Amino acid sequence: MRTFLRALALLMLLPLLALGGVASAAQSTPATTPLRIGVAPHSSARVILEMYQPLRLYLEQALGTPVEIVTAPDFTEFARRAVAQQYDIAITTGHQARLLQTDAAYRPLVTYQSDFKAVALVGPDSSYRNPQDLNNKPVIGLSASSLVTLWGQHWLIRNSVSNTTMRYVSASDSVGQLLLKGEGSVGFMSLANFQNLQPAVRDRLRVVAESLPMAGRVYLLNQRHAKRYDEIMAQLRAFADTPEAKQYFSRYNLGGYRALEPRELVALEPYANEVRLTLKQPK
Amino acid sequence: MMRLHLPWRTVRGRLLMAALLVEMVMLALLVGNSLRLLHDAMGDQAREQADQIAPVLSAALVAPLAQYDYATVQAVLDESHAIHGIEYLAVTDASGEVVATSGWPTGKALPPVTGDFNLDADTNPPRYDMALPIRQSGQTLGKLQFGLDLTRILVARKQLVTQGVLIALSELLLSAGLLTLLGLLITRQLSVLTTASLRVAQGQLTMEPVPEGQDDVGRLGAAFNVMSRAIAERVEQLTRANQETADIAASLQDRNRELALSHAQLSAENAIRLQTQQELEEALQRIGDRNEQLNAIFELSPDGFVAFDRQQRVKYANPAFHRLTGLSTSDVVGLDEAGFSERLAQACQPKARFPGLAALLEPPNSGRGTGHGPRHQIELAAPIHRVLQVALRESAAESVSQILYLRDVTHETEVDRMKSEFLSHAAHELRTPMVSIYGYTELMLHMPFKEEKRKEVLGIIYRQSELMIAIINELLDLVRIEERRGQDFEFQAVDADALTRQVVVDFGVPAGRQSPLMPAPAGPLWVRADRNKLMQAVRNIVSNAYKYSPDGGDVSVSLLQAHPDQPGRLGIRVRDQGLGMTPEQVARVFERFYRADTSGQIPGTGLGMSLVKEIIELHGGTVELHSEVGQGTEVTLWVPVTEGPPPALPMATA
Repeated sequence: MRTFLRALALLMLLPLLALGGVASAAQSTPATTPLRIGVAPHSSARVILEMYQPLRLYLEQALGTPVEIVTAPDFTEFARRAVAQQYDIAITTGHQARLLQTDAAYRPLVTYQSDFKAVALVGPDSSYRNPQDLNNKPVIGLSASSLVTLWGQHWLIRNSVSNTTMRYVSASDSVGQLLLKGEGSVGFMSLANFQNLQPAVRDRLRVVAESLPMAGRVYLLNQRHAKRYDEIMAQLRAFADTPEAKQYFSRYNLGGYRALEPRELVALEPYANEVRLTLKQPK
Repeated sequence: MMRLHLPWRTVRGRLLMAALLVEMVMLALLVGNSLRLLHDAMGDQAREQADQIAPVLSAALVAPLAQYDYATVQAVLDESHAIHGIEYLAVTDASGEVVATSGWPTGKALPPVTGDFNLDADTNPPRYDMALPIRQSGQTLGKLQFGLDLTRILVARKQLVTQGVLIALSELLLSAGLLTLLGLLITRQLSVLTTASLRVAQGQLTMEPVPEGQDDVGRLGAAFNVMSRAIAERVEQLTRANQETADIAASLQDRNRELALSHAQLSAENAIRLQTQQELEEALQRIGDRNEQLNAIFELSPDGFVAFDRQQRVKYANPAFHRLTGLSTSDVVGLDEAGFSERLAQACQPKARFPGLAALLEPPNSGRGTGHGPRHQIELAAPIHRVLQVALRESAAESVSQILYLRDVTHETEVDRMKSEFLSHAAHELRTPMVSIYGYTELMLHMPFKEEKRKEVLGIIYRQSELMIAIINELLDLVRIEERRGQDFEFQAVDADALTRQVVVDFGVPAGRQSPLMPAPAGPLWVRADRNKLMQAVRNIVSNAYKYSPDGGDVSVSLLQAHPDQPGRLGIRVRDQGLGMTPEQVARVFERFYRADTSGQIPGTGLGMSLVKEIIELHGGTVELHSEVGQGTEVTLWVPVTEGPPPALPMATA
């Protein structure tokens, strides 16, 4: 009888012990793990860190957890890390967003209200009159996986420009400098980055082509945070109403956040496929 | 026997040891301070170097850390490690995990960073560890830690210590030699002096002189020779002086004995002085008490006093003086005799002015020697009419020459006046019937009368005698009542209704007049009264009612109960319809010997109403009188009511 009672008591205690263990595990693991926001390297690392500090600070306070802004050496490496689920929130170009949506189960959150366009630029001494003038000429782009570079390559193909040599640089500033020095016949960058160039550089460059509006930088949430989608979406909208966010949107001509159109990312599938192919190539 | 002294027990040896000790301390301070300055300078240099390196490395590491490009981080560290003087570098990410090291074994825990610059730490080689966070725009990306090699500083410090100690030892040896040599040169002659001094100390005052010379030590020897001779002379002088001192001591002891004797005498005298002082203080205390009593007497006395000083000026006037004369102290203090007399005379009525102080002085040839002169009466007009008796008393005191004394005799004077007036009235009233009796008896003695005439004259004499007896009786009643003030009254509960009815019944109504009208009895009405005295009073006013209504008219008697104007009293009212009185007559009706009848036709003594008033007031009541000429008079005696006696118990029947 006594043995039976002991066994019964042990059975009653087991659920409690299990609950205690779960609770302690829940308390210990995620408390200090920061929320990692990966930002595609559309600018230098120092500029990216500075640009996204208001968002970082706001989310840290709102979510009650540390938040860190990270980037990658280039777009391709960024895409590779994103696909490897290294980011909790990814902020990247539309075509990479499409890739992450389809291949890594990220869920799109918002994009900016301002249109994202890519432009093709030539230097002050360029003899460019039509795309055919670019045959056999050096072309300057950002990372091979960047949207503006892929758009530029598609633009060259659509205009039957052949036998060009691509040169990749790390930042839009470098594209502008190389064009001024005459080391490239045409270069590609986003319209926003072109407008943010130093006036001495920007005013000497000439826009020869401009893309249709595309989804620029898209915020995506990693699938492991699917349950917090509404919460994080709400915090992003709340952040958009703060004075810091308005200053940020104003400074970078971003207009604010907006929801993505239903098939907006689907339209970028061709460019996403280019990235997918790049990722499949060995390093 | 001279003793040999060890080197450190000599002046020379001690000077040498002291000099060497000071030099050792100074050298130790010098070397120690140099080491401290080196330590601080090297520490500052290491910190400056670290501060120069840190920002550069931090800036270089921001981008690769943000990009998670740890290969670049490693490259930066490897490149920096090549800089001479940096022993190791390490970078940890934001979570604290080491992501790259250079010069530090992989997997080995990084050394703790205290921030202290310590050359004597256990680390080999010695190292200065420093760590700083790598931040960008407020975001912490990781931490950079590196160690600076301090081996070169240690070597420099070691060389400094070694060389410093060698130099210090050389310095000490050289100093010791030089100081020893100098000591020998300086103290050679001093040794001779020391030996000679020791002999002098042992009492050998006759010895060979020490060598003398022109230098310091030679002059010291000469001085020593002079000093030793002087000491010998002083010793002899001191011996003589000791003897003299002993003599003086003996003399002082004698002197002390004399002083002790004088001291005892002085103590006795002091005791006497102390006792005298105590007696003096007690006398002063008694004088103070006496003064206090006198002041109280002067302040409280109803009589006025004015004191004059030796210059014949008013020095003091007590409160009673002000109360009696209306002259305040400030009005009179300081006035001379003439001024004061004038001031007091102004306050008097012309018929009895203040005669002046001179008139109050005792005549010099009176021979009485009482100290005070004749007394005068003065009358003051203000503040109220007063009659004052004034007298002056001369004083033999130092500060007071004379005292003016004033006593209020207004009341006594008034009493005297009233007595005189009363006697005058009484004599006059008695003389009137006496004159008739005297005249008629004289006629009967000298003239023969017929029987009828004789009876008529005797009737007149009889009535006048009766009037005189009535006057004398009423006077005696009045005097008795005043003297006894009601003490012989036998107060008891008296039925006023029954008493009044008895007076009415017993009253001898004049011929042709009707008895007084009185309402039907209302039962006993108790008052507290002396039955006989109250009956006398009621009888008087009933008698007056008939006498002062010679033309007839009803006389009514009534009793008043619970009148609102006379609470607790019962009124016995008698009303006639006779002559009546003017208001002036009513005002004087209670005066003794006053009679409202001026015709002389109405008999009376003029004492009745005075007697009634005295009796009723001694009962605690009042007399109320209303009268109008031609209409009659109404007199009411208000007497205190009381409870009746307890009812008598019925006789028990067998």
